[in-house]
Amino acid sequence: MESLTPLVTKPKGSVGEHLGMNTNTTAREARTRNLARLRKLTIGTAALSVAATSDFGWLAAMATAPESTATTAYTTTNTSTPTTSSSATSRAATAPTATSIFGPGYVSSGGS
Amino acid sequence: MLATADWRAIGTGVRLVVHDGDLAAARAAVERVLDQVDRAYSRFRPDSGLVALNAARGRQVRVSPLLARAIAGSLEAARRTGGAVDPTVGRALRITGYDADFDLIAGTSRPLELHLAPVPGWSVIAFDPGARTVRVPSDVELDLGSTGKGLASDLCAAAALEDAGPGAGVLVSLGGDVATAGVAPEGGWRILMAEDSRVDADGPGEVVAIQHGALATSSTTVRRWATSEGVTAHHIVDPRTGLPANTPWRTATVVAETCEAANAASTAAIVLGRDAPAWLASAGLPARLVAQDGSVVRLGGWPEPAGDGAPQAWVEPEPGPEPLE
Repeated sequence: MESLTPLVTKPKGSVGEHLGMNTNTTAREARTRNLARLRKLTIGTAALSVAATSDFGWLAAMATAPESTATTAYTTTNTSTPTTSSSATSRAATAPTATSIFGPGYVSSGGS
Repeated sequence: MLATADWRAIGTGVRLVVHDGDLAAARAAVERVLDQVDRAYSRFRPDSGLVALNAARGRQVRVSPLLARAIAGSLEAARRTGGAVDPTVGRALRITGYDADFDLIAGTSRPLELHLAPVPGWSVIAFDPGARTVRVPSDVELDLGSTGKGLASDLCAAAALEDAGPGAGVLVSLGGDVATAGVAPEGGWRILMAEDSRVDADGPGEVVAIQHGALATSSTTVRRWATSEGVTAHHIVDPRTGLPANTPWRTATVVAETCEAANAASTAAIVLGRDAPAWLASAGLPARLVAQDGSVVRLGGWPEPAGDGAPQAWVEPEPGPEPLE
């Protein structure tokens, strides 16, 4: 790794970022905002070599609302979009739905 | 047609399920990704990019694209969770005893000493994604465990899909953090809820299916170890205290569009404790929380169990009527 002279974009925001661990916002507004952010937090990278060359163009789509402090530090201007899988960025902007079913699973999800 | 492969990598179990595709090619793709992940941000190999970054003693360094991506994801998760998930827990995690691959810790017979270390907070990280430069203060260690496994699942699923062939679908589970891609099998991707992801997937318990997206579970009951003070520690550090989270939840399972997001949210739920339901509701994420007494809280549209909720034995469906000529 190279060692560079210090001149970096430092994320804004106060030290001690644990102040936000409360729900003191309108639930609906917060939900809408968070859904929008989740929508943009996608992977969709088909190959790491694509990720290496894309300069995280898809991260440029992440939240840039004024109250978004740290994200302004890593929003890029690269608009290239890496190859995506069919499941991620083309989906509707809501969390996937889980349905309860009978029968065995293909995989277990628990602690590891 | 479904084909499955199981093996261990990056200190956890890997399950790959391929629907109508080339399993061998998909597995090779997953193995390549996991090797790159290990080299980029394993905390337990001395030559990883993350270990080198943590050893840089405050110098600004340029990191690999994958490590930069992982750091970006961890910082975004810290922002979205209000710091409940925080990559600067590395030092606290290490001195609570999680200083080696968990397989080694689990095998130790001596109690580990419990020490306290403050968690600096994610805002101390100077990160430029365009230049891929990072500066971590000299007394700070990064750990990407709260988002890194989920990210790895996502990347593995994408790579596996690319090599599995046209029309295929894949599911990748890394220790129960599940990412899917491509065409789901009929009825969706079926996932058994369990305390431990090593449980047989066709065992009793709640099973949910997702057509796309991801699901992740965080738990305080598997990665646990004894300390010399007689305290049982686990691997989910509360950034507010620097100690293993004192939480009412045994497990937290979250469904999200990506496994990275699900991973972050499930970890945040453990840390947030009684505040988790409200936070999950504000985030719009379906979740299943299991309390210490075994009771289950279902949130954000998480379905009730099929039938009466009792574990169901799998019964082969009766054959239908003979088709007419």
